[in-house]
Amino acid sequence: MHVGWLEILLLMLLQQAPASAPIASNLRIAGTAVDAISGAPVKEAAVFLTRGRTTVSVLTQLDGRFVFEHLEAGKYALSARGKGYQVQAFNQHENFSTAIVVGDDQNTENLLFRLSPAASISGQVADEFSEAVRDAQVMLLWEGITNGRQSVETRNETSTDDKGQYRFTGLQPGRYYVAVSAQPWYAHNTLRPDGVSFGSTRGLQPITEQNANLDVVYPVTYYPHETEAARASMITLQPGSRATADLALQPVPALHLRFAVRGADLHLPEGVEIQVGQQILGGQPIFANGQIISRDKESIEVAGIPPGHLIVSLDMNADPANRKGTRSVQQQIDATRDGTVELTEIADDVAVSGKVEITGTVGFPDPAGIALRSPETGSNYFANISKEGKNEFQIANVKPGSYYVLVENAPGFYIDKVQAFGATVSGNHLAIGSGAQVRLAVRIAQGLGRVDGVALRDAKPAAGVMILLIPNQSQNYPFRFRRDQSDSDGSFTLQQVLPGQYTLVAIENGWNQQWADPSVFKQWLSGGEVVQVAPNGKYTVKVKVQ
Amino acid sequence: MAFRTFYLTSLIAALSSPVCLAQLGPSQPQIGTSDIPTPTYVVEGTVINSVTGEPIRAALVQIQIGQQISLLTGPDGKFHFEGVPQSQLTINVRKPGFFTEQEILQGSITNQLIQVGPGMKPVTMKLIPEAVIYGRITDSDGDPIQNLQIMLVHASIVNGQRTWQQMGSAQTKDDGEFRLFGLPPGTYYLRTQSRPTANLRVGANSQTAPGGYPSNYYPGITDLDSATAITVEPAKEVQADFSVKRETFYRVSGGVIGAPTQMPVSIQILGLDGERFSGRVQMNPRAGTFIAFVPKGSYVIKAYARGNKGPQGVASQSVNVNGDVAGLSLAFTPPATIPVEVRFEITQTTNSGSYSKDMQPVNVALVSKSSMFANQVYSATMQGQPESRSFAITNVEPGRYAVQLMPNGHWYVESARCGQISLLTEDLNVQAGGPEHPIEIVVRDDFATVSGTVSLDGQPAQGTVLLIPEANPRGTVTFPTNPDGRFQRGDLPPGDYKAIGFDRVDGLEYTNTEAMRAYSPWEQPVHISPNGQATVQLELQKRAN
Repeated sequence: MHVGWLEILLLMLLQQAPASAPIASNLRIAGTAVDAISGAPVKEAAVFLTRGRTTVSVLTQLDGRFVFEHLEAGKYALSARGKGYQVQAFNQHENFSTAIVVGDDQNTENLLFRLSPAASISGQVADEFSEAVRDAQVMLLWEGITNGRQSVETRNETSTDDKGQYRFTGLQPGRYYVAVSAQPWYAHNTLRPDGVSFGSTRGLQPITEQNANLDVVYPVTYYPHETEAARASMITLQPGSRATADLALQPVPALHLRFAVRGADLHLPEGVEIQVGQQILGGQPIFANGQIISRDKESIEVAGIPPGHLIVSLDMNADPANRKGTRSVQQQIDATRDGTVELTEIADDVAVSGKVEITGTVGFPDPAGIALRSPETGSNYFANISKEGKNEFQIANVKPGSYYVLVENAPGFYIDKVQAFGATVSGNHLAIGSGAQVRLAVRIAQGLGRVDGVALRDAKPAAGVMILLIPNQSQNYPFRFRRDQSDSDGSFTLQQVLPGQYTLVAIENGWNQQWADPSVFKQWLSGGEVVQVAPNGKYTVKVKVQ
Repeated sequence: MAFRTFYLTSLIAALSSPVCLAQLGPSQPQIGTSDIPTPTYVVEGTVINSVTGEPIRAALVQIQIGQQISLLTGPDGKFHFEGVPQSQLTINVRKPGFFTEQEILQGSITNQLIQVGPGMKPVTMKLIPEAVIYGRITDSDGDPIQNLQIMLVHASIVNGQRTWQQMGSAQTKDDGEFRLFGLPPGTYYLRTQSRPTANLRVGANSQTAPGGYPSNYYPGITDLDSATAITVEPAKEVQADFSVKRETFYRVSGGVIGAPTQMPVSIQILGLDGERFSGRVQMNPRAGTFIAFVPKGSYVIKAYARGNKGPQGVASQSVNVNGDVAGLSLAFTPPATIPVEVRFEITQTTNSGSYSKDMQPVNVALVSKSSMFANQVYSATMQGQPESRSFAITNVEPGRYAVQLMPNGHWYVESARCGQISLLTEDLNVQAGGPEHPIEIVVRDDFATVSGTVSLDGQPAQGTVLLIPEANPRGTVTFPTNPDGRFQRGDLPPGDYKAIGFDRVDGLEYTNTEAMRAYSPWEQPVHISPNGQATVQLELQKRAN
């Protein structure tokens, strides 16, 4: 079953008494909490049982045993927390867990709740003098399966204290990297008395420091001391382990680059936004703390830039003649020396407008909206659908790129069809080119479906198995995948399913696989069940575990 | 990288002297020569740790000659600038983890200026290591409290007055630990923020009363007066563990009466130290009702009605919470206006006594004493037309205030009264509706001068002179003597003073008559007549560290 973590925590705080059964029920859940690695019983752990809005809790005994008695028949979420154990659900995978089904025909007597001890990574960031670097920004990167694909994402961030120490605690086992972004405290680009904030072109000051040896930066550095992401050392965390990851920073001469944009007019009163940064593993770019030292009509000179692979992002007003919309540059460059860089990847932002056609008779909630989401760049746009304006919506200043069109704030509704003039559409996927205006016709329908069922292994119910609903043409409809974990009686529920054609599979060890990758899931299709979901349709399916 | 030595050749058109040529090392190229060699000098020295005396590696030393040149010291703490022309130079040093002497010692003589020329010696620059307060916060079961906000309060003496300032905060981590670093030496208090929490001491199915962690000062006291001060010295790390017990929070509710209609009401709950309670307060601004859950203790509940033109009224009520309190009723009173009248007694013919119409002759400010951290200040503003020269302090809440007066021209405040109360020595108590009398200020310009010498055991000694007016200790003046112990100070209001000579006055609470009693044997009384001159001889007092 799927666990909403916010809900669990809120329920733990409310802790109301459950409705008692009208007759004394003899149904109960009993089990033992043990350490997932050593198998030793965990005493004084808080175990929580949740059903609906009600949560009950008990502490485990010295032998790790816990009991919940006089329960109504039904499905319960089980979770626990203890000293050294983060709050976790029973047989948890990502944010799914195995719910416990209680009934006369169910055996819920001897549950073994394996608690995975929390792990941590800590360390010190030191500079080239082997002295502590304080206020360095430390990022914890995690590598694993996100949305069915292998990726690296930033999990947490902290800064170092006066001893250069940082710590990330309460971590799940897995594969991690640590990256640091910091500035040499003595670097002359931070020594000027009137600091100019990066990106602002007001208050330009020439740099007055004479010692060029201090014109240095620290590039983003990965544990232990690598500046290239490909050479970063991975930290494999076991449950309960405390890893140490110390980092050493080395300064390199900073670059002065002149960014030229031919034909532009950068002399604008409100200034020009320029950012120069480094891409980090699996994350958004970290922008360098550089300084703008001069600007003329067609170029901007920036100091304090780390050498290497850079992402330059510049926003400016579009063609001064018509002054409409914005224009931007997003360009990746490799720079190792001072010099001039021509920025050529200029894109005029696009105005997207559209009209929504709503099928179905039930009222469309207000304010619902249309969103454009780009999983690769992380940019999102949103506009409300205006009822007074006859279901029109406008999104201004959209950067060219590739997006998925989604409807938001309208539970139960989904996008049935998208047509675009001025852009290319396939399924929900929209490719927007530079300039121009895009006009969309979006048809929204109501009636999401639901698929329930049972996972069977050798004709017997299988618990803890990954259930996956694979949409046809998944490349065009990546948001249509649905997943669940089978509960103690093998049952599962997939909700909010968009109408369409699917294949339902149950994969024993699906949790560590790139389940959204067609080359991975295609081998499962023949062992699955085809489900054609109609609007508002409800289906019950038995599926064999693979 | 060659950090230690820097050659200034790019700055000076003329080449350095032949002596300097021989010392050239790898770094910078030389700019062209000129026929007239200008003598240049070497500025060098060592940066040391003021506590251990050890040299500090990689400290940043900066000099300014037109432009800025910086160097990092080497492993021996030394720095070396060549080719510096004869001049008076500012030299600065800094490094993370340290304070400069100027930052720590307010108002003492700094040795930031260096005379560059023949016979100059190497310089020693001191950096003062920061201090740290760290610790662990646990609850009454010994379990760590995570994500609890801790505030740092710095108690110090500023301009002879004791003040408390909030100086930053930290949050406890997963294991309950916190670390407050970068502290200058001084006296501190720690305060935890109150926070509602659920009771996760699980029993079967019990509905627990709302509660949480009350706000506590280290080591677990609710008010600042009884709290333990933590004194830190440079380079010290002081451990301050304490534990906070979860308490029941009581329900306090009530409403406001007499608020101006149509005006939304905002409600604040303040502790005894004037700090706003940070927990849950539910309010209905239209109805003027509120419900809050607070730990036991004494509070002041304040309600404000704010219109477009600023605050239109305030209501306040003290309440002692020992259980649920319902039905509190706060009555609104319009804010007070206090007129300010200034009378001139100008005697100098050179002083026209005139001031521009839109300027106040004396800046009057009321500083609220109900908050420890002195945030609320009211200033007098002009009322009506400039020609009327009429000033008042408007929208003053009831409470106790210290009055600050600053002349805005060449005159001094001879007296400031509100009815019978002298505002130079006493606080102003503002009741609802305002004081019965205006503030009456008399200014004069018959300034006088004091001169004299400070000596120690018969020898002239350099020091700082403290001149405390008998009628107005808050108007105490301090100034350094010349190196030969002599001093002269003009522009003093006439009257009776007590004079003392000290080696340093930082940290001395000289506006507090009680605190100064220990020094009364060495006070020299001085009487200065209007437009007069007085002389006094002082014996240097060395203050114990």
